[in-house]
Amino acid sequence: MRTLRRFLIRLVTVATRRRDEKRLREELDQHLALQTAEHIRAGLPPVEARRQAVLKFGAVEAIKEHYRDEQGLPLLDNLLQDIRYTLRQLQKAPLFTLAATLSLAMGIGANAAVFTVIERVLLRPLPVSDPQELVFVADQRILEQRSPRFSYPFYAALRDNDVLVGVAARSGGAVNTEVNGRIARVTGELVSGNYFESLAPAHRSGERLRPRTTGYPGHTPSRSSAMASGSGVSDPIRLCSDVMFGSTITPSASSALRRRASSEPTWRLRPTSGFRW
Amino acid sequence: MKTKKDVQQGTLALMVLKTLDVLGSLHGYGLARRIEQISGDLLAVNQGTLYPVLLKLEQEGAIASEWGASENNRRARYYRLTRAGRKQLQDETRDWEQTTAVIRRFFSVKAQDLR
Repeated sequence: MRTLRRFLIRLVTVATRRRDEKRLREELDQHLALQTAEHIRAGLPPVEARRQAVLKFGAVEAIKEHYRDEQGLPLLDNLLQDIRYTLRQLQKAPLFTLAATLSLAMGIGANAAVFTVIERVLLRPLPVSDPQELVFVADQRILEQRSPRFSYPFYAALRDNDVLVGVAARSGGAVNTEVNGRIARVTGELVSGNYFESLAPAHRSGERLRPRTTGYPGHTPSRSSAMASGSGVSDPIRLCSDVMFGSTITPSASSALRRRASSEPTWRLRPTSGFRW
Repeated sequence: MKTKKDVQQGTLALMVLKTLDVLGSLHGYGLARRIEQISGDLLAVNQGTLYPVLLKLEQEGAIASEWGASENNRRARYYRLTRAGRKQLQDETRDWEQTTAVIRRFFSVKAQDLR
């Protein structure tokens, strides 16, 4: 309690930068005057009396310094002083400041960029099993189109092969959905039924899509997977949590689903031994 | 170096509190003289070191100070003990007496006492 009280008083002194220098000076003068007077009464000549008084008092400057330290918080004081000094120096040499700031910025930026890559590739790979075997395949001619898509039969042909462990198709788009009785338009992904099976993510709540839930073009699938990204949703976080914790999302408009007729395929490759892409 | 200073400062503070308790309100010089007088010539402390201690005690709320007229008709800062200071003095006196009592026992012990 006592320590806290003292700390607060010192903090206020530092913050307001109000030092009671005058009080100390006055007290010291008075002290020396009284001591000198006493020496004179004891029979010393005035000059010698004053000298003895000062001697007895001790090193005035050191005591003043000590007194100042007790008034404020020397650590904080020095820090503030250093910061002020730094800013002044930087102001004095703007070119140097610019160069130093830029080189620091570039250094930090480069490090951050490299770390981001390392984190993504080495430390936190995609949340699928064997991410190093995941491949995105697209046809150059198709990619050059304005809205590139494979046809569903083409995807089906790719899927039924011996080289790849699985081929999943995806297509982006927005759908009107109904989540727990609330209607919301969400951007999502329309994916083939074997999507999760092929990627085999470590864990995911809710019911997984299975191949049998995939409908053929023109058919409405019984279930689809939607990832809310928030556009047009009044309460995206709530919706996300509903999606993640197992609610069934019912697409409420079939128009968007017709896009499924064509999809962008994601190929999941597991090369046989000796096979290289 | 630091621990030595701390101990010294602690005891000086206790002397200040006790002197103010006995003599009531005093200015800095008066306090310094009284402490010298009571301790004899045994205490080799510069009078000036008293002022930081006074400031510290005042910040802690143990003493209060105000301006008043001194014997040579000049302004002097008078210090007096507060209620919190009186309580602090009691606590520290008890601590000090306990410590000295224990140390005294150790100094007075003889080999035959422990057989």
